[in-house]
Amino acid sequence: MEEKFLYILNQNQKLIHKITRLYRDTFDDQQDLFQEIVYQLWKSFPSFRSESEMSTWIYRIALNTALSSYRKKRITFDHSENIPEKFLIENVSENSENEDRMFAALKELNDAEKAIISLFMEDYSYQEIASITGITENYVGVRINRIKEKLKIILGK
Amino acid sequence: MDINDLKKSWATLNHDDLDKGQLQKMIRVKNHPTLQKLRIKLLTEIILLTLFLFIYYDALDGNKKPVYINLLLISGILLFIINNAIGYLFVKKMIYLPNIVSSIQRQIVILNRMFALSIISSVFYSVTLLLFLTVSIDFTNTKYFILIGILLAFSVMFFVSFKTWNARINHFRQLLADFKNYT
Repeated sequence: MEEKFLYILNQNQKLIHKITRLYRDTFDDQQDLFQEIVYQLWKSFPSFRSESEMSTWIYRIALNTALSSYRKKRITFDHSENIPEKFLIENVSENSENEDRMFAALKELNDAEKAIISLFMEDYSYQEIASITGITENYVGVRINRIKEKLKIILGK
Repeated sequence: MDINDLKKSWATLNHDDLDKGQLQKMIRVKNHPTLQKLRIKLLTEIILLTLFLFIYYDALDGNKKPVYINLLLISGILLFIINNAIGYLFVKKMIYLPNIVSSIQRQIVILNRMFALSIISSVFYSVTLLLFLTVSIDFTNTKYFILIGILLAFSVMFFVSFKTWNARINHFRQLLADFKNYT
């Protein structure tokens, strides 16, 4: 079972990287969240039912873990590993400018909005987003439109 | 940059893939960033408090105190350990219901229960310890000052604990509101 799990995890780790970068600012925090998600996936793996897509199941647990792990706001000091990535000059050369702009914009949203828009950007249908989040399908439409408006303003700044 | 550009960047995100060995390490509790620290803390508390239970009777004149005081102290310590063990199990197994909103709602219910248990166990443990130390003792002015000092220290600890729990529960209430309401 462990081999199968590791294979699936390896195939889908990009999903987890996206969630960690969306919900955590520093590299250390992103690594910790990544590990927490992997651990929770492993714990929940025996109860996985194949009626849902594997990627959807991973997304559900990853989002749930990111939202469930309460962290006190930390005051960071002059260590480069603790500087939010949007301010890290080295990252500008490493990552594409668009990626940096995207995460800087997405991080202006609250945690609930981040979850909804990330599902939208993964091309989940309104019905699937409603099922994953627990809000109604109509309301998903309303929320996505409002988040898009909000992002337009943020990106236009 | 518009929403379509965002979607493109999201789909093509650059990241460093972890290899199988790195992923394998992550599924072990001993490599878990939070759980390992909590496990060591819990084990240390259990060992120290069990040790205290073995030696207090002779070292702190437990045999000279009423039986009910001894029993209260033992139950206070046991309740304290149980509360910490429940906290560890809660962190270890995430609440995972079919959707995020129900998971958050459930988390708030459980956190409220743990908040109550944590405050009750801490107060009970402190009161039983104080009762044990102060019963059948001849108080002098110095001893009264020490007692007041201990009471003040306990009060500060309870206040900090109360504030921490409140902040945690309010965080999840706000998260739930952010999912359900839009203003």
